[in-house]
Amino acid sequence: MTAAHRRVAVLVVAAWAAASVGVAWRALRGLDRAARSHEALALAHALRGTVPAPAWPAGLDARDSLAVRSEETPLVVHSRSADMITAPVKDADDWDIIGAVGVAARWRERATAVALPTAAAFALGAALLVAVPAVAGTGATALAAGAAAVFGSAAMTTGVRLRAAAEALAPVGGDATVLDRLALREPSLALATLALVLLAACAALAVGAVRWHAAAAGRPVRVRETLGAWGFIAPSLVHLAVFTVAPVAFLLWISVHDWDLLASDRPFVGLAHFRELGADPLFWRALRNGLIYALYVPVTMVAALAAALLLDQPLRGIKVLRVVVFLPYVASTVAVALVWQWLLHRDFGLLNAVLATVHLPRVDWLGNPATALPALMLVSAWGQLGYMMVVYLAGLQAIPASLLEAARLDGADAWQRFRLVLWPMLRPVSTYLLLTGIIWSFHGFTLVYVMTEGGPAHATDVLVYRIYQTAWEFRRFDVAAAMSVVLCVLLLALTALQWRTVKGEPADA
Amino acid sequence: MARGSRSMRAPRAVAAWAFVLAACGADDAVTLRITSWQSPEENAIDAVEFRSFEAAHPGVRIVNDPVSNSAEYREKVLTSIGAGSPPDVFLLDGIDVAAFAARDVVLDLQPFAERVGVQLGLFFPQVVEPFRVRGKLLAFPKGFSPMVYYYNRALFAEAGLAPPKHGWTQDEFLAAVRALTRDTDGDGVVDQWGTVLDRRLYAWQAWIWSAGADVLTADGARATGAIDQPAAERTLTLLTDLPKRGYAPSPSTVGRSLGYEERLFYSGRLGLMTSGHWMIPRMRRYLEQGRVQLGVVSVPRTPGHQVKTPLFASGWAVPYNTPHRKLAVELAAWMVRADAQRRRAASGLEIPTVMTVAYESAAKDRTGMEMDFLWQVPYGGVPWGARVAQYREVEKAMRDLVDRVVVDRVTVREATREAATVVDRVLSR
Repeated sequence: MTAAHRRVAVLVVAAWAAASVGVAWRALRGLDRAARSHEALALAHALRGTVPAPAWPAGLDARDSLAVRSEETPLVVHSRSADMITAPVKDADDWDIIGAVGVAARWRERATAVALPTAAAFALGAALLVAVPAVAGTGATALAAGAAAVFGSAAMTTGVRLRAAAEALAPVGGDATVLDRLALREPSLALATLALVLLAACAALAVGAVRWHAAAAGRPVRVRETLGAWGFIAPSLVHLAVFTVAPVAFLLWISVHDWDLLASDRPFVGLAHFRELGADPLFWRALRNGLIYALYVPVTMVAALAAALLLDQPLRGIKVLRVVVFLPYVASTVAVALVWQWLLHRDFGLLNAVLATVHLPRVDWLGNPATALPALMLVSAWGQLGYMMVVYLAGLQAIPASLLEAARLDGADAWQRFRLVLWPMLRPVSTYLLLTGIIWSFHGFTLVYVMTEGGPAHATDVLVYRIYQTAWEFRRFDVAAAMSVVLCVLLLALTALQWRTVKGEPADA
Repeated sequence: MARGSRSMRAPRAVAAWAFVLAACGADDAVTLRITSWQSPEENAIDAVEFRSFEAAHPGVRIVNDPVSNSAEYREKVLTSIGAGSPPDVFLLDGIDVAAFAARDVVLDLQPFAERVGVQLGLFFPQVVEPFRVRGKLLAFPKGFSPMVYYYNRALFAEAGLAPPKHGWTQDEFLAAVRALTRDTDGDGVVDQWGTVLDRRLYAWQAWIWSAGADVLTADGARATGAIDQPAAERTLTLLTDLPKRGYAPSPSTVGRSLGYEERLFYSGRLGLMTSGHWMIPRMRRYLEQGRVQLGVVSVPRTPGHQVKTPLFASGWAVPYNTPHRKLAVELAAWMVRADAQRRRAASGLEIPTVMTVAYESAAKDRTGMEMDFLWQVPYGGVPWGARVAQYREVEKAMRDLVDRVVVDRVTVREATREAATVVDRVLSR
């Protein structure tokens, strides 16, 4: 690594560290305000109906410049000496406002809270740089210093908040309507805490990285590569952790508790919800319907392959035709569902009109349990055909023309060329389409929701619709979570199968 | 000294607060959020009330945040209350009262009713009742409707039938639908039906009640001993036989999103259809154009029993954790005052809950239908949803009951027993 490269690397890492500290600072402020809002609300509640009201705190001067920042967020009264969060105090009925209460943190103390650990952290960083020259320039030390500052600030600010809490109350007669703007909504302490926990995890990772770096100093190339690799995947990793791993963990937690959205008591019930599912015939029916519904995938693949072979010809207007076949895939599913509802209507539907012209009896496609699910499969197939055709087209166009030419010279006819050349070459594409198609088929919801609502007589009740209904119509989130876990396991098994299949494909395929 | 110091602080505090208030300025309005599942037309009517409330409460701004889909609406209200960021006022469906009451998330409005000028004695008591749970009042009712039968006067006349009268019997109903069912173009296929079978519980609940039976036992704890009793089964047999005997189109073809049954009715292909007052705004155009002549009649009863119909009401409720309790309750009260109800009644959306306004509105009505609706009120009952927290599951099980008979062709006895078992399990949780 040249000196110029190193300078650039140090600058990038320093910028990243600075940004991290900025984010941390915002999270800390959020945590601090949320905590003080809780205190303000608790104080206001405790003081409810108190007459006369306690006095204004000695530290706050009426000459201070006071301003309301926002009515929606916790009210912050800025002054030269304090950052105060206030809430109205109401009478015993929680009705008329009789005053207000504020919780303040002094700027001086807050500054001390940040400055001390930051200074300590940078001193530690400097010491590291001197003591372990090998780590210089990697940026990890700066990261560790930033993390230490965050940790220190968190601890100190919280401490300061606890020490500096001060109650203030002004006796207020008159315009309660206007004073109502002081009302606080419950702040999201949990969110701020989560942000802090994530920051702490990042900091711990950073410290670990520094230690690992020091140990691996003798292998600089590998060190650089590994750090670079982790650096690249870090954003995705954080995204996955926050938006995938954490919700799945929460889902698992809900599924083993008696969990109501609005209840505070959520006892552990073990596998009770899973046992309930096992005894619920409608759950098994939904699962069975889902498996049958998934059969539309291979059928659509056959049609898509045929369409791709037809549309892979160098003809005039072929691109327009491809677009036409692809269009249903980009159309709104709700709109598609509504149109098909009419097309399949027993009395007014186009499909029955066609049947009537050839003197066949009308079919109640969506009203008959025997035909409702096949009808939904037909609509799904129509919607997915374009997508699968495009993927097959891409696969076909990636097959070298020389292979087909060689087969032709060897005397292979069209069927033999398809069976012995095209199909084997398209196997990875087919495997991908089959498995992803089946996985997606288990997510099928919109068509069922709009066209049949799971009916008639649960003939089109599929798992995702049942999950939705159980959670939001019956408000049984815990049982719905258990269903989601079952679905998750099912899809994981399919994904594992896909991986194994893809890994088992020949390298030239 | 301390007392003196304290006494000095008070004026300073007042001055400080005055300064805060002055600094807030006119733009720092209190924002009240209100939500409902109402249609754009209803929201347009309510917007007038919002503006008048704002005019009467300077410094207050109302943000209406409606959700058109009722399932998503409940999802939104529950989530926002659970997250500690509730709307200040929300529309509570009468059939969700028990579910919300069980979670204790709605403010008891009873202690505040008089303070905000709501005189509950002026309201129909049958409509206030669904919102009362264990002595608490969970909403100020704003409008309601009984379940009734709409009938097409022209089709009745064509069939040589006299218009049905309130309190008519199931036998009279059967005779009417038999006469109304016809093949009008002579192609051998029925194209005009006597009525339609709606599989949903709310549509046939009144039938069961008017037969002296019920869906659940009196304490709301079980379905066994109620829906599986002979009177209920006889009525269900009558209803589910309607499509089998050709007096009604197949119920499975009645798609919710297509509004199929209403189209049949508007186009003169149905003689009778069960529904509520909410159908009036959609039909008004046809009524005014004279394209359809309608009447309203009670749900048929069995001899020896009185008519009884559920009164489906909705009301404005306030979450327990709204930060603007007083303003929120004032807004809820504002939305049910007589003027607001008059404006809504003029649009034909619902029956006003204030008695004088309801009769005033009926007196202005030239079709006579409003009086027919009011006839039902003394025979109104509280829907089970106001008493049973798991009502949505009960409702679904009852729809399955009809499906089992009509679609799966099992006997009514078998279907009622299955449904009773399912509902018993749900209610025992």
